Amino acid sequence: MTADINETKLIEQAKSDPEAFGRLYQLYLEKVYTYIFYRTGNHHDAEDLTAKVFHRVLDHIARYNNRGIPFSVWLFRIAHNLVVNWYRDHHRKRLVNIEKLNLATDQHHNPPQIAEQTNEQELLLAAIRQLPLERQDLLALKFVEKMSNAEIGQIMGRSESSIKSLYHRTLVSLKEILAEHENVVKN
Amino acid sequence: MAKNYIEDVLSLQADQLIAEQETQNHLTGNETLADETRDRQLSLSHSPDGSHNEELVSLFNLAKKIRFTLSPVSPMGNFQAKLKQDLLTKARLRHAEQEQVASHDLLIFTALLGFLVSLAGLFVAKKRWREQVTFALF
Repeated sequence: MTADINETKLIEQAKSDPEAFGRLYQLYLEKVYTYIFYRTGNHHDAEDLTAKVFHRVLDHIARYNNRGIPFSVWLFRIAHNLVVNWYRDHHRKRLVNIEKLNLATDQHHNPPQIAEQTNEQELLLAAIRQLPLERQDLLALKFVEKMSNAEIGQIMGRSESSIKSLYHRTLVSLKEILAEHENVVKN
Repeated sequence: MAKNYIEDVLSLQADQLIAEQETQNHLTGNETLADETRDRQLSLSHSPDGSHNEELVSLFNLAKKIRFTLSPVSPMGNFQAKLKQDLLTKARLRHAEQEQVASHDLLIFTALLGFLVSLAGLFVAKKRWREQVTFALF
């Protein structure tokens, strides 16, 4: 609650105070960068789009009013729209760039087990990137940004129940992709 | 098992996974919490009619793997610093421009106010002059 109040204060200050905007930037940089990185699959485009997001936030923050839309939802809606435009403008194919993906494992502990784990993670990331864009978006917002179905719905322009349903279908599709891959490996 | 029930249970599990991760970030090595989450997931995997659902369990496991795989990624230090510098420069420039516009607006307002006051003064002077002329005639 106190954190919410502090953040609301910071957002109001950031509208007219450049230093407050700098603090707001520090607060959200990693979240925005992580979201974009998992959506684009490479650091170069993630940096480019993250910069565009924050420049756009700076351009429009004076007009932001918390009327039922939290700042994080407003911010990620900007990021979401920029990623959608990026896919449209560049006609990007969903290329898997696994070697560039930063995985959460510590390579120094128990190497054989870690190697197996990393391989499994790489496979999963590859499978995620084969999903339709909307489903990739849902997983990133849910598991990277830790957003509720209602917040994801606000960003993606869908109802909360439709997000629940989409999440179920996403897990089922992902399971099918992984099973298909397993069959290919076996044969 | 009803589709709505599966959707609800999967969403609930995702929320639990996120909450568990958040707590683990604050309390490391909390075995009780891990056990509690496992128990809750086990109970969720039983449908209202009491049957155990293999499909649901495999989706639970997949969700856990996704949560583990999609970890936060930090941008490069020089990118962070450069972007912050660019944004601060732009914000300071805009702030200075806004202040300049505000002082310009204040100047225009003051000039307009001065003009209106002098116009009112002229009007009052003319009215008094007319009154004096009328008084002199009678």
